[in-house]
Amino acid sequence: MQHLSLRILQTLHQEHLAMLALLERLEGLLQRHRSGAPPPAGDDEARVVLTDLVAVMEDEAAHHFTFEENHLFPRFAELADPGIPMMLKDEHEAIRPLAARIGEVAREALSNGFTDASWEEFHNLGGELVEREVFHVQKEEMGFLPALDQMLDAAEDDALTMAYAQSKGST
Amino acid sequence: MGAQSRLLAPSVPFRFFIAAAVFHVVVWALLAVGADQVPDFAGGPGPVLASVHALTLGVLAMTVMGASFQMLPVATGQSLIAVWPVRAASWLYVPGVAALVHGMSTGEHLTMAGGAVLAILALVVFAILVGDVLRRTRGMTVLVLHGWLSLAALLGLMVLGLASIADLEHGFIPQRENLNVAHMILAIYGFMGMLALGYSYILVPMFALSQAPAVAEGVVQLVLSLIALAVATGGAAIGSGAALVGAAGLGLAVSILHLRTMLGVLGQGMRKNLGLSFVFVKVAWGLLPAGLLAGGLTAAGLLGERGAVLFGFLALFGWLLTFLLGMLQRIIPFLAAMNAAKAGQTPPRLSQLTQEIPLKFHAACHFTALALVSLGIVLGLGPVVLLGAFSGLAGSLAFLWFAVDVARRMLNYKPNENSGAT
Repeated sequence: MQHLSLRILQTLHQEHLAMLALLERLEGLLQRHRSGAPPPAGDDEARVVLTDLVAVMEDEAAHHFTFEENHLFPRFAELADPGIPMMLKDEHEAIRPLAARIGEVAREALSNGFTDASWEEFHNLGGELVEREVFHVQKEEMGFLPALDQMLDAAEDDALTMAYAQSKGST
Repeated sequence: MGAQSRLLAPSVPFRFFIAAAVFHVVVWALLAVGADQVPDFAGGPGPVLASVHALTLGVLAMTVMGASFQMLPVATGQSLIAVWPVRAASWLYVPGVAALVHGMSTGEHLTMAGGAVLAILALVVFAILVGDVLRRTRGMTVLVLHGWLSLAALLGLMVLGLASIADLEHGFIPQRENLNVAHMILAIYGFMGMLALGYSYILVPMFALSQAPAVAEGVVQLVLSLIALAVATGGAAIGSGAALVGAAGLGLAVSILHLRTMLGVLGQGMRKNLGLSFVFVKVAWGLLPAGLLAGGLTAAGLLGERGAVLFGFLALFGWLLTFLLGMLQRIIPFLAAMNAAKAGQTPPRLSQLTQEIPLKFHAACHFTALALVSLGIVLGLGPVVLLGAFSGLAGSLAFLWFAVDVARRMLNYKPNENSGAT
């Protein structure tokens, strides 16, 4: 990850870090409890991961993705390259239903625990989510955010930072 | 040309990667053919020299070309000025290297020279395209400086390489061995080494999802590397063992600084499970100082007659090839996944494009080959080298299978296969 100078990009970068930290914990949970062997209902560590997963994935889909799609992708396409935002948007579209479904399964598990079947579904969804999110973040951190850091100016940074804060405050 | 060209058609990088995987097979096959000559190899045409150039030009430089043409524009945000020269470079380079390797193996001077001219033309195209991207890049100081230094070394090694080939026929160079050592140092630590170190500042943080190292740290290491490279090349050209020992000592110190930086990057990385590819990368990092140590001891006359061969093997096969194979098994599926889906389609998961079994088999064979060939060189036993080369050959076939299979899966990918929710 390159060093970023613009506030809006630093904010998105910090959210990537938070997402990756959660995915590491999710991956650890999936590795400790293989498919067909759900964690017991009183597993506090699993509860924390599930609670954070519900919150972070909702925020990711509702704010982070939407902001990038509405504000940054069009700007990137205009200033540089329409192909890269198109590819990143397709990845958002692949992650959104995963995030929604894993949130539903996690909520149900927080209320009633996992059954063998719901754990298997969670395990499959979690594995795919980790794979897709990590790959997506790698690309944004490698090319997308550093390129925007070179292309946007301070005035635009202020406006984008304000717009993102408002989008988060409005829901 | 539009900026969309930053994502090249998959056929562009993949032609280089598949060709590199094919030459990787050739490398080990030629080493097996010349196994008896390896421990006491002292230069000159034959299967060993051909194997070395199949590796340096056919595998290492080939991969660097494919990766640079695709990844440098994405990483720097600067498109290539045009894509057709990339295709032209591949048409010159692949047959050029094949002819050069064949000529070196059989001793056919005209074939060797013709192949060298084609390969050099392609490398000039590569240098112009990459140099243009580096010229326009803002920021990424460490990568850009390593890139320029690598291109300067490429120019020097091409001149020395052509002179060496011409000298085989016409015999005009008084101290031919010195020139060949300078050529080898520029190739290993200049052209390829600088790119390997420079790309590490981008690729290792990207795969580990870690912060890039401080620019000042990278620049200091680069300056020290440049001094070591200049002293080593100059010392080799005039036949000064003392200069080579000094350069190896400085290079060893810089390599340890580099490893400390890279291990720091991994330590801070959000991804701890980096898989088999980073086993290759870590082994390669360990063999970088080992090769420099062997080089320094050889120059000091402490490793005997076979020290130079051991040094060359550790540096080329142990460090560069191992590092590159580690990166390549990450980059090939990465680029394939970026290219597999068309706009508006669900992109594939990396695991949908990659088979683990050939990679595991390749890893076992590669590390066995490194150990056996090193042992064969130290003991002066051709049959042990042969066993190692066979192991490397088996591994290289598995790696070729992996690369072709990824390309096949990329071309045949249909959205919404094996996806949990989509």
